[in-house]
Amino acid sequence: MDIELISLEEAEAAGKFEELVLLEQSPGFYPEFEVFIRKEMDVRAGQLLFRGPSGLAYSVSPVKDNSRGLQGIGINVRKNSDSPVDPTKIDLDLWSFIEWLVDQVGGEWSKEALRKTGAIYKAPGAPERD
Amino acid sequence: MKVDKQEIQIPNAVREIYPFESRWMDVQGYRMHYLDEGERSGAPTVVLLHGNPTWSFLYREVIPLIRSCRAVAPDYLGMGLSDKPADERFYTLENHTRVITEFIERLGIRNIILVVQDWGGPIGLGYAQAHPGNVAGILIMNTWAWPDPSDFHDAVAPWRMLHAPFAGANFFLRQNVLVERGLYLATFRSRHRLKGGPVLEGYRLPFPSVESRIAMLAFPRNIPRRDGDLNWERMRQMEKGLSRLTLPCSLLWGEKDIVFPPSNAHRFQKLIPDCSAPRMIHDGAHFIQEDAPEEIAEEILKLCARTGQRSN
Repeated sequence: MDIELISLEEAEAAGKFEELVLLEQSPGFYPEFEVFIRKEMDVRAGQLLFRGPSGLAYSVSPVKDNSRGLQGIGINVRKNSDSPVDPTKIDLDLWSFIEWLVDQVGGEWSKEALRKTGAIYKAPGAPERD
Repeated sequence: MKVDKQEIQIPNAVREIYPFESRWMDVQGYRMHYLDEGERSGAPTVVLLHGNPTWSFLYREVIPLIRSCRAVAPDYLGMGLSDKPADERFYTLENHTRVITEFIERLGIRNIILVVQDWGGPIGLGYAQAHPGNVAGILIMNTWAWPDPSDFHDAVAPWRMLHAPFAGANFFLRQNVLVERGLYLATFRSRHRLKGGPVLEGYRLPFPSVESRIAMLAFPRNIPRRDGDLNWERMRQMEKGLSRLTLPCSLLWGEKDIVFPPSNAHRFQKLIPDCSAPRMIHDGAHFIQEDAPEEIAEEILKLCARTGQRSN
């Protein structure tokens, strides 16, 4: 299932609250990932917004901490209340986002490699292992 | 720095198979958990170093078999019941080695027998090379000590994808796959115990939350692949230093390990001057402490005898 990139208006309509669901402290561990994400954020006014297959909306943006400065890049789910969101929906949406990401980064990184890895480790969203 | 200091209660089912007294030491301003079991007076001191994603629990079946020795098993910061700083950058090989060095010095233990596996290898060998006078012997199991760990580590799938940006945060932090699935995949004889029940519960225990799993993700990101990577030069120097290790060394290897295959054992044997031929465990894999605790205990006691240290 694919993600859909959305506008700020669409993300805001999805909810005014945000909950951090994934924090990547080392987006540049393989530099091509950070280069791609930052480029995408730059052309979209600082944050990347997407809708997952579940219909939930997400923002991808830098996470800053007063004492430490930049902590990494976080993925936040947008919601209308403080109540928790079904984690299985988030798991599947994050999987779709990561599939999209590795496909966009390209080169040696591919959806197939991600799916193979996910299948071996039985990650939610990954196909069943043959 | 934010620290995950969650008090972890050991449930009865885990306590039954890990019936040891928890001990604590402040190191670098953090609380470090360790075990200190067995004979004290005049017995050799064995320091048991774990890897990723494990903790002193890994040695629970070895410790009772070497009661004639003093057995010390620390949990690295970020692992086991020790404090878990929240900054991934804290967890470098250099810092883990520094913490273990301070731990050994503060405990005041001398002429130790080091037992290392997985990340215990680079951490323990780093200690041994810097403090050769304090190490009487070393048992090396399923690990590495050079910049190119094995072919497994070069492949995109599964290894490099597993800890790639965002994918790694999902696999390690959100899904905890190294505990939930990695332990099962990396054992052989005892694999059935890693599907569920108290053994898996014991490995899950220290990592109940995303915040508690950061060190696990940092470990693979400390493995260098090419010149210029973090730890490349450190591991290169470590490999060169193996030929200067004059202490008695034994090798015990799970033959079915694809992460650190038997060729690594033979490489150690070639590089370390006083190293016996590797003893292969045919139905053992990476987590040999799960697969072959009796054989590990045998090798420790033999090494004690070889180093002239008498176990009571």
